[in-house]
Amino acid sequence: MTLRLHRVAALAAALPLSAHAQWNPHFEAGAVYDSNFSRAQRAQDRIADTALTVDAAAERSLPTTADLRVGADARLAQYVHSDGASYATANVSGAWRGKLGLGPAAPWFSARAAAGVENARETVRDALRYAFTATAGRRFDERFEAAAGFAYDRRVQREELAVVPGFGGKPFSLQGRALFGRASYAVSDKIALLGSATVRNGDVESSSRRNFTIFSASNAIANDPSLGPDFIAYRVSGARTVLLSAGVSWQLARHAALEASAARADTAAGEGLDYVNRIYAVTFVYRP
Amino acid sequence: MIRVLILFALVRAAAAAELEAVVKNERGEPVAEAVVVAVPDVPAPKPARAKPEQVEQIDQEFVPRVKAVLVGSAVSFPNRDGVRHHVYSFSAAKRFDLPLYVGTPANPVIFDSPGVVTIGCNIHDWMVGYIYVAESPYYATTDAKGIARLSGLPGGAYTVRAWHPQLASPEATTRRRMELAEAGRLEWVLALKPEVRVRRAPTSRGSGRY
Repeated sequence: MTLRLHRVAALAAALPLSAHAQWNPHFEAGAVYDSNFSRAQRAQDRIADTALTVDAAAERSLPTTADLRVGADARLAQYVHSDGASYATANVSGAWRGKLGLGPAAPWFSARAAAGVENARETVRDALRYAFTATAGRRFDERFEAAAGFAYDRRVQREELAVVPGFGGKPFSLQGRALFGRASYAVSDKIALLGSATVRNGDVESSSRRNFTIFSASNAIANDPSLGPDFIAYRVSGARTVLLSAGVSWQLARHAALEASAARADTAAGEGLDYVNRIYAVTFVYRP
Repeated sequence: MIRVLILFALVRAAAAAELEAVVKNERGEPVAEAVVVAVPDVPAPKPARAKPEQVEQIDQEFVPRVKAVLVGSAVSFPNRDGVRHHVYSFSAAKRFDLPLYVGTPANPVIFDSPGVVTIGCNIHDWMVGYIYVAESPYYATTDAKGIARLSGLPGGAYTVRAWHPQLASPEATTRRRMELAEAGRLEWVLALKPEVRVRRAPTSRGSGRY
C-alpha cells in the first residue's frame, strides 16, 4: 500500500514538470478540518481530523474551434490522526466550455468528466474514481457570478474485503447524483465572497464501532482500521446530503489567492441514520 | 529680400510644434493611460498609409491596455500566452470577433471609424482593453507621470481633448481650444469613475469528495 501511495505521489510530483508550453499548471496547498471525519451518528464514534493537502494540476487546450481541454491532476492528503486514511490520487479529465454569445455577461455552459485512481495507506480505501459535472452559469456584472449544475460521482473500491456473510465487502464503492448552485461576489479588487449549496442523493460510507442501527441500514461492510482497530465501514444507500458552504477568497497577487471556507453537511439516510459534518478549510491557490 | 522673408514665414508656419499634455485626477495624482488628441482646424494631410499596430496578449492581459491608433489603422492581436484567447469587440466603432487562437491571426483588424473600441477575451472575462481610434494623426497616451507629448504638429489652431477608460463625463467636456506656435502645454483635471474589473484571482478546484 505504502509503495503504491509513493508511486502515485511520484506522479503528483512529476505533473508540474510536464507542465510546459501549452500546459497550464495549477497548484493548491491547504488544510481541511472535518468535525466528523468518520461520518458517524453516535458521539462516541465521531472522529475529528485534519488533512493537509497538496494538489498539482495541468491543463491544455485542444486545437479545435471549441473550447475543449484535457488535464491531469494529482493530490496528496495526509491526515493528522487517521494516518491510514491518508491518500494520493491521480486523475485525468476532459472538459468543454462554451458561451452563448460574446462578452462577460453571456451565459456559459461547461461539462467535465474525470477518472482517476486513489491509493490510501489502508487497502480498504483504495479506489477508482469517476466524476461528471455539467454546469451553467452567468456573470451578472463585474462583481457577481452565479452557476448551477449537476454532478455525478462514482467511487469503486478496488478490493472486496467482506467480513459479514451476506453483505458486500466494498463499503467504499459509492455513487451519487447532486444538484448544486454557487455564487461569488467581489467585494473589492482583493476580496470575494463565495457561497454554495449542494443536495446529493446516493450512497454514503459511515464508519463506527459495532452499531446495530447502521448495520441494519447498510448493504456493504468492511473493517476500517484507518480510524481504529474496532471501526467498521458501512455503506448506506439512499442517503441525502445537504451541504451549505460559505467562504472568502483573498487575492494575494494576480496569480495567487488564499481561500477560507466553512461548510456544514447534513446527511440523512433510512433507518433513522443521520450525521453532521462541519468542515473548515484554508487553501492557498497558485496558478502561474 | 522679400523672397527671404516669405520663405522664412513659410518655414515658420510649417515648423513642427510640440504639445505637452498633463492629465491628473481630482486628487492631483497623475493619470496614466489617458489619450490626448489634437485636431487641427485645417485638416492634416493624411499619411500615405497608417502604420501597422498591435495589441498583444501577455500573461492573460492586453498589452498595452489602452492603445491609440489613427483611423484606418490595421491592428494585429498577437497571443503571447500558452492559452488560447478569443478576442472580440461589440463597440459601435468596430465590431469584430477573433475566435479561439494561438499565435497571431493572419489578418489584422482594420479600425476604420473613429471612436473608442472596448476589446475583451471571451474566455478570460477579466481581460479588457481599449483601442482609441483617432481621427487626427496628432495623439499620444499619457505615461505613469500623467504626461503625453504630441510632437510634429504644424502650427495653427487646434481643438484638443482627453479621454480615459474611467472618464466620468463625456469626452466632449474635455475639449480645449488652443493656438499652437512652437510649443504648448495643457493640463486636465479629470473626474474618474472607480474601476471595477472582473476578478482574475485563481479559485480552488475543490475536492468534490463524499
